[in-house]
Amino acid sequence: MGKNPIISLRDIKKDYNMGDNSYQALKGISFDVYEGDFVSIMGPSGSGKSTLMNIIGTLDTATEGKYIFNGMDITKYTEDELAQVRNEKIGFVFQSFNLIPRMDVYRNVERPMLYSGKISRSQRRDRVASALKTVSLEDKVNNLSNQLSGGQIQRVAIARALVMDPEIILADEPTGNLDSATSYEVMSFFQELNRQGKTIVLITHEQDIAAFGKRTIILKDGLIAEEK
Amino acid sequence: MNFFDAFNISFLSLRNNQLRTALAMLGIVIGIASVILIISIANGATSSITSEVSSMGSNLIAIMPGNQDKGPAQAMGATKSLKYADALYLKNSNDFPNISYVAPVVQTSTQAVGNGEDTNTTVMGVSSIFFDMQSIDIDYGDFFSEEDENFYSKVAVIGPDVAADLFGEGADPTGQIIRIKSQLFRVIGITRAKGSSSMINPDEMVYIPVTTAMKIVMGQDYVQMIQLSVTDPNQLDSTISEIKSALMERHSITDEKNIDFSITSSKEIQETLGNITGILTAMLAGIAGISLLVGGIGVMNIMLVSVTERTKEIGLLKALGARRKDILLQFLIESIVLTIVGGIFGMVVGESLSIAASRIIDIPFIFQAYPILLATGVCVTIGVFFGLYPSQRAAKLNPIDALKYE
Repeated sequence: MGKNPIISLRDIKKDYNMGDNSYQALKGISFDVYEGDFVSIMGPSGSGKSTLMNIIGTLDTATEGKYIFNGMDITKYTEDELAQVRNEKIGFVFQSFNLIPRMDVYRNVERPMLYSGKISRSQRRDRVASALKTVSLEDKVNNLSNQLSGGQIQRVAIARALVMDPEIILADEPTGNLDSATSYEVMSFFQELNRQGKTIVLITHEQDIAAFGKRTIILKDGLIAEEK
Repeated sequence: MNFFDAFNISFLSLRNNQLRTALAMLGIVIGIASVILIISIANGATSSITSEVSSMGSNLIAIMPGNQDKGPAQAMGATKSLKYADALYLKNSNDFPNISYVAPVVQTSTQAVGNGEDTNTTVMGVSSIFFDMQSIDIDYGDFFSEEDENFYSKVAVIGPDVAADLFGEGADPTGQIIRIKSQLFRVIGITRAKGSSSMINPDEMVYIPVTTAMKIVMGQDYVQMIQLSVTDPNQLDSTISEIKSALMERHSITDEKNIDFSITSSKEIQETLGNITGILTAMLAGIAGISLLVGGIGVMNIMLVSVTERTKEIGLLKALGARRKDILLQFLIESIVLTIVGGIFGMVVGESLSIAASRIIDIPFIFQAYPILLATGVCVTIGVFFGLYPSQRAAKLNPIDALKYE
């Protein structure tokens, strides 16, 4: 594990206003994620896992606190700047896979590169091939998502997350819709990626899945209850 | 994202939802096709009317009794203010060097009887020069002459419909006798079929010398119209004012308000018809434009449905790094592609229907580029205008809410 934190969260708070009532989902979260880390964030429902994941993934901003990403304070970034961070630095893997329906594997994996605007067509082809090889799906490049199994779909989503060679992979309950055998298969991919040096942040509520990580942070009521 | 990639994605998305795409396009196809069809029919009709009026020549002047400004009763020629003597004066005076021919006209609706048959017809008392001025040709026999006019000859030139009614289809009735208002006339010629124009049907006429018509048939000294032709059409306006002054003097009128005749020129009729057809075209194109507007609203509706249906996808694209402008561009291009492709189909359908319509209603088909350019411009405008709101809605979606959307 490197010594440079890729993610530094300092006293992150998030308030939601619902009419006259306000609700604090995060009450002051601080931790670092280092290069090559594999952090599992666990917690029961309502503990603030999803809110934390949205903030780490720059899909949402904190009400208070500081978020340093790769040495840059991104707390006050504009919407477009955050989109660029998501595009270049973060690879998302979702519970519900979120492939674009009616588009083949190639176009799904290629899509993040279109938003970068810096990658040529031939480079895109090479990168898609390489990402699909990593998840052992190079022969499914022209398949539509309804022609793939659940495990294969999630592996396509992982290939999509890898294709921009991001600083971290952010996986939100990636095994939530998979049976246990496929879940372990997918998790072993994450472990392999981590062994190759990828930094991974995993959100889960399953202990056995969290155990694939090197480090586990347990949230409760918007605070870190335990770190092991 | 560059424009080419955005176009590619939009095109794929439209292709993947073929039914939705086709339904959205249908409104535009109908709208554009009807605009093109209406403009094309209107242009064909205008050209047909214009050529008919132009066949009269641009050098004709018509003087009618009564003042058109004083209401329909006088304008219809119900007054007796225009005399045969006025026509003779205009013909014989040296004050009007630009006038080449003068043809006084009287007419009455009556029955013509011959060969034991009868038919309803319009009897026109005209000068021999009238046939030349109206480009009327003869099929059998001959026209009457100026001499017939001078000697009150009881001769008639009849239209082919009258000839057919009285003597049978294809017969040559020259030399036969017909009866008009208890006077007997010898048929000396049959005019060539011209077909009905917008106002009169020359094939149903009986032409007799104007003098005979006035004195023997109708017993009147006034005429219903004096037709004149001028040598130089460029001096039409000055000739008209010369005629006006001269007739006012002859009729002892000093104040223009009391004028008892009206002068119109073929140029004026052409202009008036041009204006009327222009207004009609604009009105019909406006109605077709409403269907185009409805088509545009259809596109907006479908785009809004598409944005709602793809909310989760939009959330995902934002998570993958799409900026607002990327999403906006994608949906805007979808909307523009929809309207342009719909527009192209509409143009093809519109032009095809125009060709079919021109054959069915027998008007010339005139291909013009401007309705197509107009339609293309309208398509892009509709695409942008009606696509902008749904696209902005998509671009502004909160990625977290969008990702949670089921």
